Amino acid sequence: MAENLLSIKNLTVTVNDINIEKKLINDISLEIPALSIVALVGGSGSGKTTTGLSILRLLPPALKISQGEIIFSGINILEKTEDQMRGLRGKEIGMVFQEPLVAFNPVFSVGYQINEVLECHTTLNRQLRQARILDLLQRVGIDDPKRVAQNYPHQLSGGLRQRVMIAQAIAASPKLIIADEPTSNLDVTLQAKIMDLFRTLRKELNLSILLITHDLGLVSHLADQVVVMQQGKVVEAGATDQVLTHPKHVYTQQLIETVKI
Amino acid sequence: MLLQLKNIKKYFPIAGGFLKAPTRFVKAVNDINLDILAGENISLVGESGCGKTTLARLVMLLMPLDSGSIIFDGQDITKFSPRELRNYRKNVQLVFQDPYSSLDPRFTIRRVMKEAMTLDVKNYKSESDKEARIEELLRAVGLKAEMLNRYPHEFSGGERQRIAIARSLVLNPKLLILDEAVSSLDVIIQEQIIQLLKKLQQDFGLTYLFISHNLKVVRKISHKIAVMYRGKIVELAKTDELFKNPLHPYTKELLSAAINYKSILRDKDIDVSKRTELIEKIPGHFVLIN
Amino acid sequence: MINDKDNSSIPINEFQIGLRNFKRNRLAVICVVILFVLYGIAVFADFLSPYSYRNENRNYSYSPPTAIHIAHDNKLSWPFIYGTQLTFNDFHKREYVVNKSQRYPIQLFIKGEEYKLLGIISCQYHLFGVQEPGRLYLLGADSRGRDLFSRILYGSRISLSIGLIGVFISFTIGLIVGGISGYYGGRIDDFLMRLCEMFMMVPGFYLLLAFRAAVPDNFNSVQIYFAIVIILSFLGWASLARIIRGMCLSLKEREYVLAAKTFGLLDIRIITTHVLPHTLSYSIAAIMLSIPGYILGESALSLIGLGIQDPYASWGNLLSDGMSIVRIYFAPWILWPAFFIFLTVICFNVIGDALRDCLDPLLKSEGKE
Repeated sequence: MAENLLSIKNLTVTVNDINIEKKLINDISLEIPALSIVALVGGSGSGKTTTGLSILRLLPPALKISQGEIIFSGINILEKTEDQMRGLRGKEIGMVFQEPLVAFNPVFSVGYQINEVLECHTTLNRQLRQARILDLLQRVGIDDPKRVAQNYPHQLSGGLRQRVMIAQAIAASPKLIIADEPTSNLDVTLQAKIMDLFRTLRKELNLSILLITHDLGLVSHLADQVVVMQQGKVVEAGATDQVLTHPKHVYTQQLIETVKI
Repeated sequence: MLLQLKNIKKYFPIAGGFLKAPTRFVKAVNDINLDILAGENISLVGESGCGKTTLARLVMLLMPLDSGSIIFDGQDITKFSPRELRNYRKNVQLVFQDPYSSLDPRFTIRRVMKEAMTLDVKNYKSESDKEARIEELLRAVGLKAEMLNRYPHEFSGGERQRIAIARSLVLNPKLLILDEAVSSLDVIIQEQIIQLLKKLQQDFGLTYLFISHNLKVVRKISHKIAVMYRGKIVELAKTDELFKNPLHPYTKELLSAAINYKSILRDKDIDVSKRTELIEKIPGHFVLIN
Repeated sequence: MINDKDNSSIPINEFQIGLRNFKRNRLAVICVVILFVLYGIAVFADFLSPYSYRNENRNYSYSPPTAIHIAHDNKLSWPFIYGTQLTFNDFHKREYVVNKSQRYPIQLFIKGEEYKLLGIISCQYHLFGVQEPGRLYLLGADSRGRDLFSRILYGSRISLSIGLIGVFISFTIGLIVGGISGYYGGRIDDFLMRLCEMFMMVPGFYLLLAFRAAVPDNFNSVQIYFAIVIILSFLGWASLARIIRGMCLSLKEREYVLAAKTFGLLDIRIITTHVLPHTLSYSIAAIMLSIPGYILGESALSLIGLGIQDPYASWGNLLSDGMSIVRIYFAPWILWPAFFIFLTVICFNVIGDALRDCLDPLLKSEGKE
């Protein structure tokens, strides 16, 4: 277990208001071994997105981490200063959002926005950065990276946008990618393609991926381990095969029921 | 026969050139024939942009057809007067994908339901008739009557979709078009809504036209599946038959994506040009080939 | 689902949230109070004023504000005024000499000229006043010795109501035109918007004068009043219609509008229930901000003598007395109406701004949904 890239211990997130005693995440623990794909599964409101944001310390001001620790590469993230966190985000941990149209700034070209990440986290000069952008875009399966890099987010189709978003997330070669419902808004065929992309990227770039999703079908084809969450609590965790074939908790059984055909 | 679509076409012009003269057309719906029998749920499946939503809106006549006819009860609805059309729309109702935007945020649920009732004065004569019916419908979709005075934003996505379904049942439609009605919900809620739809079908004698991009979702509720690609139906068969024996390459692609989450790379583009025709390969199983 | 009970009893209406935000703005609340007082004064003007707007006494031309005394022979007494006498000094300048032998106590609910309270109840009592032949000029008198205070009170009826009626008319037109134009689009939209632009491209005041010129001279005061209201609202609707139209263009694409169409609801119903109400939070703020325009428009017309005619009073026509520098020098109190115009305009602007601020987040959240 020494090989854990990330481990969350007894994390509790509460609403930052004295009057309301509400725990959005209640004492959860999970581990992401290096070079593995861990899926965080649950319905809407189960706290899975909040968990993802906690890892990056990007919780909205209304929420606060009241307890627990998040250890990334042997360091407790919660003890870091905001400055150190900025160095970590994007550089060590990348994030892929559900809705890329919202996550991108509409007034800049996507190339410019990948360039920003490179500027922050690498020492590459201008030419090298340009080359790197094109390389990244090619890597995520875009055929004409030059044209795409000049486009604005709204000019791209949903699938293309999601690919660009992934390119941005892997730009500074992070060790961990948090993918929050990366395919929920895409057609099934595109969804399958993005999943293929995750598989290849993981091998090529030695990534670990935390996949946040509500679709167990997706999980069964991609993840090594599954953590099932319900109402802020981890109800079941284990190797994917184990959990899917012998679910112990009722909620997991329900989830599996939905993907049976 | 409940509804018959005959050679329906809808092209959208792409403006460009001098004085915005249309230079090209997007063939959103390109010569589609489809028969919907009473009680036989049919699903339209395809990727976004394949024209399935356009087709749904054409069936509601929310936009004019470029050519073709829609036969309902032996009459061509494209020739209806506005008054007859309003009557027709009572029989065919649409449930939208996004329950967040299909309910007016300023309307309480009671007002949402009553608004639809104003169109059917015969069945809803008195206030007590209306209230009784509202309560009955809410119970049918699994909601409580005390929720009536609330606004849409106070409900979860699944509850809102239930409200939207209840509203569409107010006018006692025969055909319910569900345009990606469960796609924005999470899997457990999806499952609940699908079970609800099955129950409602028995109680109210409905027929569903289900529109989705996910074959897996529609499998549970449809008797027949039509796969759409670039404005054309490329394959049409009974649900089990289609899953067991997909003939068209695009259907295979969809199936692989939905079930195995793996993409199949196409070696050549799928041809949907004029030369292709929908042919009955096996009895009841149609496929588009050259 | 958890908060089942407390939610059902209080349906959270967005206007209630807006109202809560509004109450936090102290200045705006003060302005609302001031406006209420002003409109209250306008309604009860005939009761609150000691004289009617046409009661004149030429012996008291440009009489300065009357001093109210509360002490006589170093003894405290009920407030009273001394009689005054018009004399001319060596330079033939008017001087009002106080005659200490005549004392007129200020009486409450004094019997005076007859009027109709609220336009129905015949009544003779005024809130305060003095017994004839004493004259009480709280804010001084005008050239014909009419009480400026009473005339300002009467004038507020015209000046304040013109804003409300004008805004009502122009917003009705603006909402209808904007709603139709935005909802239907196409040729109707083109036509209506060009029409709006025709109104908007001519400088407002010239258009105002042009319209005024088209109104016959021999109108009586009531007709003139309505002519002015209609002229002013004709100027105001165009800009609103354009903005409403823009909002409708995006609102009609909402899915609940489409949903309403699938029920076969009539277009007029969809526009009035699903499209226009969503422009309301914007419109309310816009209404508040545009009322001053009407008050100022009427004042401007009356100032140059094209509005309300003597002896009827409006704030603008009272001010027209002050167009000569000599009169302002010798009788500065004739500028009092300007203060009231200023106060009203400021109040409406502050309230409008506050409303816009507190309704703004609602507009934003609406955009999201």
